[in-house]
This record gives sequence, structure tokens and C-alpha cells, in this order.
Amino acid sequence: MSNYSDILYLTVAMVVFSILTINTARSFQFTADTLVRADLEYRATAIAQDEIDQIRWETDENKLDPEHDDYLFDSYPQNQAITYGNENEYSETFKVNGKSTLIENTSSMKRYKVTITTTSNSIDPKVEVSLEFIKSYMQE
Amino acid sequence: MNVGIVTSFIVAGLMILSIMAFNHSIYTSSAETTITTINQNNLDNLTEIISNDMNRIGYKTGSSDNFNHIYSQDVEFQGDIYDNDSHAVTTVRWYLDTSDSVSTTTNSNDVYLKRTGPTSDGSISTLKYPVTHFELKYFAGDGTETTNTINVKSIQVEVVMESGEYHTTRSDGKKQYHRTVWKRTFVPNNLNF
Repeated sequence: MSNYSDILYLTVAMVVFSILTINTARSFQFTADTLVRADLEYRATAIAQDEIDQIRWETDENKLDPEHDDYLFDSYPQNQAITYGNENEYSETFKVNGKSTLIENTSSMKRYKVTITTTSNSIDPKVEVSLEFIKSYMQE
Repeated sequence: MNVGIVTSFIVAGLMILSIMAFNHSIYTSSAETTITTINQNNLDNLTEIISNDMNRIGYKTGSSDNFNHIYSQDVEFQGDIYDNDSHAVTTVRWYLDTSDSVSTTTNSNDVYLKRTGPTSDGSISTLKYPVTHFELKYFAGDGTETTNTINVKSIQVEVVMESGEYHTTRSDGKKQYHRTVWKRTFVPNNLNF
């Protein structure tokens, strides 16, 4: 009878050990996933900042007016393939989307809120970064 | 031969092997996590300084030509880099010194990216950052690449950084280093007025 109890003890010990190892492995997997996501977010933010840096110097107000034919974001979303490395050996594709909203329209000023959203589908769930920028134009 | 003892030894052996494999896996994951975090922090520190410097190119110089030279791995420019130091306009140089390999790490790919200019303590000195790749591109107002210092309106900076120490060794003996990259295009205010 003691043989059976030994087997029972061993089985319980193995089950407990398995649960612990699975939980530990899951915890490390989660940490690795977080680190990869942080890396992707870092690069996605840089791309969104690039877009906003370009828009800061946009002198043509029509480009930010959603009602106008020259609206800049009509051609968005765009896929941007970013290459890195000595010989551009690494590549990553981000989807860049943008929109502009007129938030103030007075006799002296027009203000637009520009939102740039960068998405990476390299990981599930996808990584998404949104940056907002307010651009003002003086009315003559 | 006692069958029970032999069975016990086999089971115990399998348990010990699985515990050792698990221990190795935990050790590797832990090392990878630590190395990745250190590498990301290093890149974050570096990009913060690059961003500060690039955005201040031409600040308070009163000049239309703020670059001393522009090359793909070497740039020298002028600007008031810090507001609260004793220096007014100073010269800052960022360059990849490919002749100066990092000797304190096991990674054979890293070399020093050097910054000569004012530092937060008020002195002018050279700071060194281990990177594996650093590249600059200069663009004119129409978006085309330029080599003329007068025409530069935006600068693209690319940095690739690998960890100094490896986290795993592949079956073919190659050491695996954590790699992280960063690429940004700066449009400094003072180059665009």
C-alpha cells in the first residue's frame, strides 16, 4: 500500500512543479513580449514625430483643411517601410495614418488639431502610437 | 537487481534533468531581459542627447550657415546647446570613430560614437557611446539629399546599438547580442526660418 502512496505523492509533486514552471515560463514570456512592444513603440513614436516635424513647417493651410481638395491626409493611411543597418539589412513596416480637425475658426486665427497614428502589426495585439499637434494660422 | 530502486533512479534522473533544463531556461531569459533593458536604456539616453543637440542647431548663432562640415558619419555644427551654462554659442561634433573599438565588452561590432561639445557640468569635453552603426543624411527644403551645408533643412539620424554582452550562444557557436535601432528626421527650427 505504501508503494501506491509514494506514486501518489510523486504525482502530486510533479503536478505542483509543472504548474510552477508553467507560471514562471509564462511570466518570462510576458516580460519578453513587453520588451519587444516597448522597442516597437519607441520606433513608432519616432516615425510619428517625423511626421509632425514635417507638418510644423506646412505653410499651405489648405493641406490641413479636411474640406479642401489639397487635404494632405487624403492619401493616408500609408505604409512606410523603414530600413536600418549598414546595408539596410533590417526592415520594418509601419502604417501611418493622419487626420486634421478644425478646432478654432475666428476672424484672426484658424487652429487645426493634427493627429498622427502609427501602427505596427509585427506583434499581436498590434502596437499603436498616437501623437497630437496643434497648428495655428493667422488670418489676414 | 531491485526493479523499484532502478525505477526510482530513472524517475529521479528525469526530474533532475528537467529541473536543470528549466533552471537554464530561467537563467537565459533573465539574462536576456536584463541585457535588453540595459540596451534600451542606453539607446534612450543617447537619443535624448542627440535630440537636444539636433533641435538646437543654429540656436542664437545669427548665422545662416551653422555647419562646419556634414558627412555621413560625422557632423559638426554650432548652436547654444544649453540655456543655463556659461557658454553662449559652441561647436558640437558627433562622429563615429571606427578606429576606436570598445575593448571592455565581448561584442566585436561596437565602436565609439563620440560627442565633443558642452556638457551639463559646464565643461567642453568628449563623451563616448558604444554603438554598432551611426549614419546621417542631410536634406534640403525640397526633400532631396544635399551635401551643401547652406541648403540643409532637415537631418536624418540612424543609430543601431547592440548589447555589450551576449545573452545566448547558438548551436553553431555564434553569440547572440540584443540589437535595437532608432531612426529620426529632425527639422530644426533655426534652419527653417
